[in-house]
Formats: sequence, structure tokens, C-alpha cells
Amino acid sequence: MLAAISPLSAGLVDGPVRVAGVLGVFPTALYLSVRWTGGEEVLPVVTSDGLQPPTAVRLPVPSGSLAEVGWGVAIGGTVSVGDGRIDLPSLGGISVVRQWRPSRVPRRPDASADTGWSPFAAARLVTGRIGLGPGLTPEGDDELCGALLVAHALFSGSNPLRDSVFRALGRTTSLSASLLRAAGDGYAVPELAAYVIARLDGRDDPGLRECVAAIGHSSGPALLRGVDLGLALAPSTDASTSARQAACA
Amino acid sequence: MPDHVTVRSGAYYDSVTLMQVSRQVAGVDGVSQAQVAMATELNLEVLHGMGFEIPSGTGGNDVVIAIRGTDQEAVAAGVQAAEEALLALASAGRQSASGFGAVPAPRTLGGALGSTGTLGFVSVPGLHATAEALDAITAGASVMVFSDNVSVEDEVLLKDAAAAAGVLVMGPDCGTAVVGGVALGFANAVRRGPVGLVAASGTGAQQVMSLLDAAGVGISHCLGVGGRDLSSAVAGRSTRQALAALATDPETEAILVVSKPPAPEVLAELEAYAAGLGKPVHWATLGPGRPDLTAAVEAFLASASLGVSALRSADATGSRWPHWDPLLEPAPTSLTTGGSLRGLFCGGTLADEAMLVAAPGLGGIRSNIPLSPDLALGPDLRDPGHVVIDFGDDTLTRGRAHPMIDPSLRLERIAAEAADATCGVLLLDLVLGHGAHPDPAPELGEAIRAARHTARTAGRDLPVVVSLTGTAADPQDLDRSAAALAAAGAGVYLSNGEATRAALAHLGHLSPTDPIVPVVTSPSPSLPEQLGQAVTGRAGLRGLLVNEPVVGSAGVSVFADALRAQAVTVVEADWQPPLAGVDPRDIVTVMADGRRGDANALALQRMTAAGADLVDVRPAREALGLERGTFLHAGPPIEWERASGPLRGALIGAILFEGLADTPEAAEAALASGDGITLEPCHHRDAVGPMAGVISPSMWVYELHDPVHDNRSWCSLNEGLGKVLRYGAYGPEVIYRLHWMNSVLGPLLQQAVRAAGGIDIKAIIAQMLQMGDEGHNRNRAGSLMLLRELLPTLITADGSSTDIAEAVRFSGANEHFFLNLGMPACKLATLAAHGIPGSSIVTTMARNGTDFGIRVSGTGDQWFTGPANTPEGLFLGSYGPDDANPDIGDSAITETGGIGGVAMAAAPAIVKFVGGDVPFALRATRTMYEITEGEHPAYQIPILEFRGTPTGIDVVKVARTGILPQINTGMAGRVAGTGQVGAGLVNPPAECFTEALVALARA
Repeated sequence: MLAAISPLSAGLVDGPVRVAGVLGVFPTALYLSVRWTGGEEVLPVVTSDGLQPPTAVRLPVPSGSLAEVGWGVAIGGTVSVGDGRIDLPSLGGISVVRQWRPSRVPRRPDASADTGWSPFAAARLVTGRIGLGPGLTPEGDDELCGALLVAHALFSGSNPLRDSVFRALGRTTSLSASLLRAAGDGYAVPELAAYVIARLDGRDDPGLRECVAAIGHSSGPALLRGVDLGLALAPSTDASTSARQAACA
Repeated sequence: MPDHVTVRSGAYYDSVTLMQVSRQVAGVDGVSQAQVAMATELNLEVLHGMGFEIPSGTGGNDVVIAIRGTDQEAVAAGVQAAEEALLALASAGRQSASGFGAVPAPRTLGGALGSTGTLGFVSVPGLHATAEALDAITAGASVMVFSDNVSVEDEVLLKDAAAAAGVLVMGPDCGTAVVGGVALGFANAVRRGPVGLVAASGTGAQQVMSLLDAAGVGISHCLGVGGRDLSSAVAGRSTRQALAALATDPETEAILVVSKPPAPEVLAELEAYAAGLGKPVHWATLGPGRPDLTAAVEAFLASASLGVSALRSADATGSRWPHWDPLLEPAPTSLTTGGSLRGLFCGGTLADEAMLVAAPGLGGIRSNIPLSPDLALGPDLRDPGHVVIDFGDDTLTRGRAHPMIDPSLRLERIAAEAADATCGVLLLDLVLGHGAHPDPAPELGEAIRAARHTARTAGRDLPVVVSLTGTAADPQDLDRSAAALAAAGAGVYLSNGEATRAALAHLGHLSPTDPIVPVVTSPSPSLPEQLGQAVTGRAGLRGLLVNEPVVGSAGVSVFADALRAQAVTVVEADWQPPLAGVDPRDIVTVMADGRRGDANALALQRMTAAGADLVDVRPAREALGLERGTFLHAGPPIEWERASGPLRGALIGAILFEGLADTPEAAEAALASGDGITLEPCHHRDAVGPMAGVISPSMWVYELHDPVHDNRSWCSLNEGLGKVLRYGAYGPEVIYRLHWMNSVLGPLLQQAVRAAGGIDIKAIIAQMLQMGDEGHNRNRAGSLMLLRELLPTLITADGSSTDIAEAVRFSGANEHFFLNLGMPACKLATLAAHGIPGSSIVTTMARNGTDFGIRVSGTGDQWFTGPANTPEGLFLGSYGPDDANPDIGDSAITETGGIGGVAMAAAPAIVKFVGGDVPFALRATRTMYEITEGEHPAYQIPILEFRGTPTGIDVVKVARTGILPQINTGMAGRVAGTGQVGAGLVNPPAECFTEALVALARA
């Protein structure tokens, strides 16, 4: 089976062959824990009909075509990864042939270096949320993801929220940590990126909002809350003003 | 030399696949010539040209296998090879369609795109490309049209529709694009970077991409716009959209447009437009007196906008770009050289560029794509002077694949040039990348080596220069390919311009290295607000440039294969040409009709919303106002002379029943003379009748009412099985029974229905489909449920217990009792959908035993008829095919309304009765979804996970796919009065739909 990999994860599948652990098995996604020079990272492997996390290896076929065979592994099992391949025997092995382009919220050209945020306030925000709440990705993390995407767009360089989150990544699941790191750089699943871009443009499109709300079990509403949070905390831009107005309405 | 020609119908294969089969067969020992091809006009010409005799009547939907061999054995071996190859293809296709639960492949691009597709790829023959491309645009997807031979009018139509839908048409005649890192068509694997390309030329774009990649500058996207986009007629429609999309693409920092010189007014307009986009736009337009592509790329890179520092300076040979020196044997000084340039190209733009670079130094260069008409080559393509040939030109790709796929023609010419003393230097192009030959360099290298050897043996030196377009990441590996060619003795250059100059140098013409002159034709942006808007504004083209593409493909499978090799989600349509007799122009006219989308949606909505309540039973005289001497019959209008046995018999019986004649002979005479007798289709009175379907004034009829649209419909009472009027029997027992039905059954049913306050027939249909009935040929559950509804009030009706008991027994014994209610219920549904201007949905399908007729919502009461087919299936008792009458009855109204044969998956039991099996039943229904507007919300099929039945047969879809509606029906005996002889499957004749399409195109 041929697959495309996110550039954010490219280094995980190149290099010498090593053993990866299976963290999670779902109909449309498989989560592997891969050891590499920088440490341990979560690598999602997803089918075309599921969510497309920005760090994923993407298979071109829907989960239905795996139905009989499935992923062929169970949680706690191991898989060989390296040399451009992921060794899942039930699929005849996965070979990476291309990099796909994960969705990204672009940095606004009028992004400012000065956030006006107090590092202590940011840290409080993070402490009260990171690793907390129900869900494979804890709800608190989802809120932080939403806020991080907004912060990435509005501020040039890093910002206190991103700094705080990155320092506290050890307090949450490795999967959630990888998504938080991606969000800190503006990367998200396509539905969420499209929604954040629209909100920054001053548009709260109900269709896009619904798409985000449907993500995961509890993630969707938490992501939406996070976006509102980010816009409310941001310095006065057109987008954040309208968000504040919307929040108060 | 013996010839062998066979013709096969009923299968379609794309041209590239058949060319591969032809090559295979031609490779068999002893086979001197082989051609396996669809019998299109073009291919027939080629076959006649080869001296083969093709049977007359062979048409574009037939495959011709033509083989010539040294003897009969060789021919037989060739035939065997052809059969095996075609069999392998057929079973490969069938694999996905066989078995329980496997879904047949979609037949159109619309089906392939479904609801998730974002990009269409069309490579069907040009005549049919517009229809497929329209599918994509309607589905909100951008579309790449590889096909050429699309008219200018169609191109403008497509591009206007695309602009309105906010999507992009890349094409027609577009062979190269790269979107989001995915190579489409013939394109290279280029590193990712900040340059957005807009290309009206395929190989031109590939050359530019390869140069940019070699310079370490990557591309964000390469959007093709088709070779004609910048002409006056098309006025840069796609270019404009592409520029706008790249301007809002966050990855793109600068834009480069690659084309031949645009029409001046188009260029001026686009330059003005580009100036306001907020990103620098450069133009690489190849034409006389203009910089070549390499020079244009150098100027582009040198401009300040990209921050790329000065290019490496030229080396001793004047090259600034990668090149590989040839591996040469020591040359004896006595070798002579010819004086002429011989350029043999696969890429048209590269050939053009070579001529433009070489012409100033060499003078006139003859070509099959000459720079001016006086330099045209003769048909033999030979000339002692300078020659450049484009082997990809249309005239040289008749009956053979493009040279990028099949190199044989050019290889032959290389050998010929080697033996030609006038040849001074060979200049060749080779384009690598996705979609091209998997490893072309070794074969070309061999040809080069052989050619140089041939020349050397004759005392001549033959220098060879190759311009090699490609990148390090291409599947064929640029360096490895270059090394193979260099080892064969060729000088290899990435830049086509430099290659041409190197070739000229071999002829003694030295061109100075041009200084790099930056040519920026659009000002750099200085408007931060605009840029801000551009970056944060809504993604253009519905996210084409930012989302992972989900591709639907119709046409040649090499392109879908190339996408699969890049791990792209692609669904291939099993595309076939339209129904024979259909004019593709009519398909486009109707598809482009602005009314059609909404009209069909409304037709489906009304058809499925219509209700059907049985509200009364009364004489036709009262209910229909049927006049004395008027006889309604099933099917389209027909005269006595043409009527078949069952219909004639039924009419005779009706005349006797009405007392208009005393003997069958007198009745027949009356009908033949026509005095005082009018024959009319039931449909003209909004009624329906099964089989012969004769309704006369005295006959009692069911009356149904649609409360939603306030329509009414009627149908005769079912006489039961055996010798009955509807099968053309008219003996005394038939007449006697009709009288009993009128005097006893009818009045009792009337009481029962009225006392019950009406019976919801639509609800029974919905239930019976989930109980193994399909509503045409199987009605058992429906009949029982109807009886259950009628019994309480039937029992208490005013009549003797004997009469009531007989009425109950009579109704209960008839397993098709419900048919006469299901039919008018479907009539009400289709009636509600009728008369919507612009709608191509079928609202009547009916047969009179001689003709099959349909009517369409958007063309009013006009009938479209053709000869009725005879059903095929199983026969009762000792009856056989010769006993069957052609298709007869109004019961096809059930298929028209979304049940019956189209719902066969709901009734596996009936399938065995007609000679099929269960997988067949599932496949039949699933295939019907291809030709219908939508699914019925109320009529659902359990085994398909309660998917709604295929409803709303669309004339356009039938015409495009060639899939005819599937009808499951009883068979009447040919001889009047025989009765039912069997049951089987039948389709309407294609003529009905081809004629309907013509009428729709003019409506």
C-alpha cells in the first residue's frame, strides 16, 4: 500500500528500521509511537474517510477497504518503521511515496510581535487546561489547540501561550502533545483550519462551524471554545472585536 | 499473406489499452501487422489504409481485431494472443463487479467524483470530453481536461460555467499540472517552493519546472490552462482564474506564466489584471524574437522578488545549467559530417523552441509544425536541409499512442537519419516524469549507440545532443537517465535552449551566451492591505490549492495509475461512449441547459412526494367520461393494422363485451374499418392498463387520488390468470367473467372502498418492497395486504354471502391482484413530475405489443417510440421463445416510478423465475442508480441497508452511459388468447432515448 506523509512527520519514517509501539487502533486511524533522534513521537496513520491530523501518514483508501483485514495489530503490539516504510503485514506494508500538505492557518501579514499578554496569565490558562478533561485528546487540550491556532495567526514569532504550552507538554498524552505542538505552528485538521481562517476574516460560517463541532466525541465543541478564547484574548483586531461581540451577544 | 478480421460488440476499451494489445499481438512470431481498435471513423481509415477489409455496419461501439501474418498458423497465434489479452482485460474489470455486495463501477465522471471528489481528470475522446467535464463543474470540482479536439465553443462554455461555480478548467488539451505536490498527467516531481506556474503549454511547463528544480527553487503549483486559453476567442478565462487563485495561495510568492505569445489584447488585459493582484507576475512567452524558456527562467530568477542570488556563471561551453558530456570513442580524423540539423522531438513546445533558437543562425528549417507555411515538410517528412519534427503532432499520432508512451516511430527515424549522409547532428528531446515511459533512456540510448555506429561504419561522425527534461525526484531518475544517454555518446542538457545551441555548435554555428536581462512585466506589490486580504481571504477555487485532492477520472487508465502511484485517492469511471445514434452535441446542449438541474430536482421531489389513495371503483364511462365506441389500450398510440395478437384479441373481446358486434368476425371487421371506433392510449386519459390494457366504457375501474398534487388515475380490475382479456382471449368465458366483474365484483369493491374511506396504496408499496415484492412481476405481499385492508368492509357490504365469498376468493386467488393498484399509484407519481420545462426525467414508459413509447417531463405529451423488444427469460410449460409476443402493457410505469425491475434487489425470489441469480438482482438495482436522478425516500430496499430505490430515470444519463432501464415483466403469447407464456427481463429500445434527447436539445 502506498501512502503520503506529512512533512511534519517525514523524519519518523526515514532512517534505520526500528520498532514502534501501537498506541491506539480505530476504524479510520492507527496511532504509533515512534522513537527517533529527537525522542518519542506519535505518528497517526489514517484512512481517506477519517480526520486528517496534520502529522499523519495518509492512506489513499477509505476504512471500508480495510474492513475484513483491519489494521492487523492491537494496542500494545509493535510494528517496524523505517527506510520509508511502515511494516503492517495485513496491508502488504505501507510505503511512503509522497508528502501531502497539511492544512495551516497562515500568519497574518499584520501580525505583531507584541502580544500584550502576560506570561503569568498565559501560564495560568495553560495550567488550568493541559491534560485535563475527558477524551483521547483531553478537552482542555482541545481548547488550547483552538487558542494556539489563533495566536499563531495574530502574532509574529512565538507568544506566551505557545511558550507555556510547549513547556507543559509532558503533562498530557503523547498524541495530544503532538497535536498541540502542530497547532502552535498553525497546523490543524482541514475543517478546523478553514474555520479559524474564516473567523480571522470576521466570518462565523455556520457550515464550517458545524464541521468542527462534529470532530471527535467531545473535541469539536472544545476546539470551538478555544478559538473563541484565542480571539477574545487577542489584541484589538477586527476579528477579535467581532468575536468578543459575538461572545457577549 | 493471410488476413484475419473479426468484430466484437458489447465491450469498450480505451485507446491506449488497445494499442498495448495491438503491440502485444504484433510481437507474436509471424504476425506482420496487427491492429486491435475501436471501429471509430479514424481507426477504420487506418485499417483500410493497411489493406484490411472491415465488414460494413461496424461502428464506434465495436472492437475490430485485424491481423496479417506470414501464414495461417501465425495468424491463428495472433488471434489467440488477442483473445487472451482481451479476456484478461474483461476479467480484470469484472473482478470488482462480481460477487455479493460488490458495487458496479460508476460509468461517468459524475459518478466517480461522487460527493467527495474535488478534482476531475478527463481523458476520453474529445467528442465526449465536454459532457464529462460538465459533470465535474456541476459537482463543484475543478477539472483537468487532457482530451483535445474539443471545440472552442465548448471550451468557452466550460470555462464560463466553471467561473460561475468557482472552480477551474485546466484544458482542453492540457497534459501537465501539479496541484498541492500531486503530479497530474505528464508532470515532474518538483521540489516544493514559492513559485506558482500558469501554463498554456505542457512540455513548456515541464521544461520550466525542471529548470526551477535544478536551480533549487521549487514550485507551489503548476496550473495548466489549455493550449488555446490565451487566444482571442477564449480570452484567458482560465489564466485569469489561475492567477487569482495563486495570488491568494499562501505558498506562492511569485507567479510565472508559460505560453506561446497570447493574443495582444488578451495579454494587455491580463497584465492589467495581474498588476492588481499583489504578487509579481512574470511572462515566459515563447515566440519569434522573444527570449527562449531558459532565458525567461533566468530573468525570472534574477529578478529581486524571490531573493535568489545570481545564477552560477556560464562554463567554458556557455552552459549555465546541468549538462552531461558524451562518452566518446577516440575519433579517426577521416570522419566526415553532414551539414544539416535533424531535430526529432516528442514535445511540441520543445520543438518550437529549438526552431526559434536555431532559425536565426541556420535560416529556413522545415518541419511538420513549421514556423511559417512555406517551410512545411511533405508527407514523407524528409528533406536534405534542416528539419525539425514534432512526433507528438496529431497527424503522427493517428492510430498510435503519443511518443511519450510509444517511442517506436521516432526510433525508426533515428535509424533512418543514421544512414542519411546529409544528417549533420541529431537533436532529440526526452521528457521524464509521471505518466511517461517508466524508463525510456536505455532504449533511446541503444538507438543512439546504433545510429552512431551505423554512421561511423559509413565513414561519418554523427554527433547527438539530447535535451533531457526531468528532476532528480522523477520516477525515472534524472541522473541515471542522463548517464545512460551520455554513455551512448550523446551530449545531454537539461536546458532545451542550451541543447539546441550545442547542436548548432556541432554544425559550426556558435551562439554567444546571452546576458541575463531581467524582464519583469508586472510591478512588485507595495500594497500591504491587498496582500493581507489576499492571504487571509477565502481560499480560491474551493480550496483546490490547499486541500489534498480527491480525484475522479474518466478515460485512459495510465493517468489514474500515475495518481495511484503517488498515493492519491482516485476513483476511475468505467467510461463508455454514449448510446449509438446519440449526437454528443445534444448531450452537451441539454447538460448545459440552465433549467435542467432545478427542473430534475423538482421532478424527483414531486414524484416521490405524490400520494396514492384508492378512493373509488366505478365504470369507466363515469370515471373517465369514456365515450361509446372509444377503447383505451396500453402503450403509445397505434392503429389496428399494426397491432399485435394479444392487443387485437383484447379489442375484439371488448367490442363483443360492449355489444358493438355479435361475432368475433364482425368485431374484427368493425375494428379494421374503424367506423365509429376510436383507439386511444390509456395514458392520454391518465389511466393505465396491464398487458393489452384495454378499457371500454362499461368496464369498472379503480380510481386513485393523489392528495398532494390533486391528480387522479385509473386502472382496470385484474381478471386473474388463465384465459383473460388482457392476454387477448375473447371467448365466451372471458366475456362472461367481464360481465360478472362489472355486475358483482365492481359494485362490492366500490362499497368496500367507500366504506373504508379510501386505502393508502403508497403505504402498501413501501411495505411490500420490504417483504420480497418489487411491484411489477412480484406482488404477493402487496396483494395480501390489500385484501386485508378491503376485507372488513367487503364482508359487511350489501350483497349475498355467496357473491361476497366469490369476490373474496377471486381477489385472494390472484397473486397479481395488487398490480392494478400499484400501476396507477406510480402513474400518479409520474404525473406529478410531468410538464416541468427543462426536465429530462422520464414520466411514461409503456408498450402496446408492437411499439415501446416513452414521454419526458420537459417535452410535454410527445411520444418517443421504437420497436418493442421481446423479453428474455424462462418459459412456462412447453412454451418457447417463438411463442412470445413483443413487450406489452402499461406496467412499465412501475419502473418509471421507482419500483419494479429497478428495485429487483428487493425481490430475490423473482430473479430465479426470470433466469437470474441473487448477485444479478443486486447488480441490476445498483446499476440503475447510474441513470436515475435520486433515491426514493419512502421506497427502501432492506438488503441495500434500506437505501431508497433508484427513482427518476434521466434521459441524459441513459444516453451517456448506454445503460437502459431494467424491466422485469410477464410475457404474453403471440397468438391472441394464449395467455402468459413466461416471465423475463427486457429493456426499452435505445431509439426512444436517442429521439427524446434530440427533442430535449431543441426544447
